[in-house]
Amino acid sequence: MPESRFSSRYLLLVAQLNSALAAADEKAFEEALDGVLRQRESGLLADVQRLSDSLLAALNRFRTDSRIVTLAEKEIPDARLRLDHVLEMTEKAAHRTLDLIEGAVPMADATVRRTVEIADTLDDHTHNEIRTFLAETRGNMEGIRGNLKEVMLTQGFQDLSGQILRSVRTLIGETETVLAELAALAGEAEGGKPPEAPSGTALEGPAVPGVTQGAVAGQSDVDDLIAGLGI
Amino acid sequence: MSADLKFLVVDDFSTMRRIVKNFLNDLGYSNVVEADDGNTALPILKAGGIDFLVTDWNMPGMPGLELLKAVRADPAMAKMPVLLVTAEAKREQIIEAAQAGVNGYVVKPFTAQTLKEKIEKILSSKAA
Repeated sequence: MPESRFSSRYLLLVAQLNSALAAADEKAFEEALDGVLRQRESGLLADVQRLSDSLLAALNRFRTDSRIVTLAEKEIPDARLRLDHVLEMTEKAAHRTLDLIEGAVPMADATVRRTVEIADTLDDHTHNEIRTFLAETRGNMEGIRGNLKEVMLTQGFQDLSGQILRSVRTLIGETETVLAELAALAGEAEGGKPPEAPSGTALEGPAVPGVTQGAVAGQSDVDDLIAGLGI
Repeated sequence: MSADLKFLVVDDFSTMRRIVKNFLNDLGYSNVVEADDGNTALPILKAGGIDFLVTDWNMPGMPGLELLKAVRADPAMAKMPVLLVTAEAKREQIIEAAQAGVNGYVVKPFTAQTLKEKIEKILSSKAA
């Protein structure tokens, strides 16, 4: 039991202290006191030695675990760069789509205008087929224009997915910094990457199902909430 | 008169700025300038001439809520209509924006109809 070890360590020393004190023998008292201090230091040294051994063992394990060093030096920076690339690709694709829509909408508008102009030149009693065709063309062009505008709005995915990717990228950057510091501590890394600035904001961006809590269900919830606040 | 209004669209994603600008053009508002965060928007606002601010919230640099507070704190633009168009959808965030003096709040992804309704509602309440 720890208590008996503690008792056996100090019992004799305390007895020596007591007898020296009773005999008013200062020299014997000092010697007994030194004995107490030596006993105490030996326990402390043993604790420090144990801690030191554990730390050394942990660092050795870390050195031999090349997976962590590879993660810190190669795979996590690669993941960050891959996310940057995805952001860049989706941005380019969205802009290209918007270019095409901005080019196509005026064509649809011009065709609608032209069908109206031509229909106006035809008298009401003849050219039935052409008039029908012009009316259909106009309707179709208006439909195409509406769809193009929907496609344009859908390109907002680049903003929404981009915000989520950016927050993951920040997390990866922070992990990279911590792992690089650990690798440097183990003496294996050739210096770490510069620390990634933390986001510094609690804003989370688009709600992610199963992750975000407390989000409204849609625009109608927002409207109800805003109306309830008197705006 | 309303077609002459000058809009400032603030968003860090250039695609979203372009989308909002296109829809404003469709609504008849062709006078639209852009900024990519609050820090670049504020000098444009302070220079004057902007009638309506449409801003994202979550942006690096100065976020939209700080921009809104800066606008409300400046007597020259304290009454400017401000519409937040953002992916932030938590109840407490919407309440925070309302308390900071936002005039309208649209959650992304939005429809053309929603954007139209919010802008028209803000303009009609300002005209009243």
